Amino acid sequence: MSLFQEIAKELLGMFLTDGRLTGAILVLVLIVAALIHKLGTDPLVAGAVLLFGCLAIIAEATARETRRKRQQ
Amino acid sequence: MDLVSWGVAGPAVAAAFFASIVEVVEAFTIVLAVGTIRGWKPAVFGTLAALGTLGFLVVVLGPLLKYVPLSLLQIVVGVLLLLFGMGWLRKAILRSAGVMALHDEVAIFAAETENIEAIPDRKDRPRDWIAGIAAFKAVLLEGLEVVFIVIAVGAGPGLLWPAAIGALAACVLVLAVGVIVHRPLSRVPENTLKFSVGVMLSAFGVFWTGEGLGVEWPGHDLALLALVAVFLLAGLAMAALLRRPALETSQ
Repeated sequence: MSLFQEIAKELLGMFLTDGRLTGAILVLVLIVAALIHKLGTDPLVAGAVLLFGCLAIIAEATARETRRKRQQ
Repeated sequence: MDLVSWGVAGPAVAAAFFASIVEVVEAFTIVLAVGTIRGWKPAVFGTLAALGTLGFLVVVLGPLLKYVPLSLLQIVVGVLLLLFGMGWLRKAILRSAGVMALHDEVAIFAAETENIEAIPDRKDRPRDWIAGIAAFKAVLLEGLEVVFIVIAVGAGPGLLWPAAIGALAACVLVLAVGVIVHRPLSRVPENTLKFSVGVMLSAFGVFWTGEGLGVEWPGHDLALLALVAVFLLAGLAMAALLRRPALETSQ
């Protein structure tokens, strides 16, 4: 693997540690954007959705990894 | 600086300082292995070349940021911070719960030393050259993470310099301690630092993403402290829950 490929892989790895975690965060941000700009939801409510959505995502990701490791 | 400014500058400086400690310790371990095995010339050359490359990237790319509209910058930086910060927080929670092994600088130093010793000496690619490349890669990759964190948490008005000073202070501290002890810095509480940084970057991510999308947080900048507290409490609770053997037996 060339030096540039290795650097690109590491850079990508900075943001993509867990594919499902990454996907869930991106979907959550899109939902919050739609809530504010398409459905006219109170931005503060949408902010709460963003915060608690992030907490739910990290809880799911850690629980899933724990289950996977303990089943090995 | 007033209370509101400190509300956001404090976490920015702390996030840059703690994250930089983690990254610089990791880079230092590799540079120390190169210096110990192949001498300080390739280690210092690789390190300086990487720092020069990082400086070039910051000088060239940094000024371009002011041409990006603020709300777009907040969303992009916010989302990247969420991806990066929640990745760190996830790992720190799993390590704290004992699900994932802790980062071991002594083991990494031993492995890197073995790798460098195993390099065959060839005329076209001498060992010193390859050892220098190893130091270059380590400093560049860990340095890129530091640069990203400084730019990301420093994305707010007047925050770039406090964040940069936080990162610089961490570099000076690690190098000073490293030069004195002259061995891998294995006693740095890396997971505690990663946990704190993961919490702060995730809070910054929610804050900037929300602002970019049009959320007006109550208390403005001070809301960041509340977000930090929520992520910290939630992270600690998750680590405690996952540590419980009951979870293991119920699966």
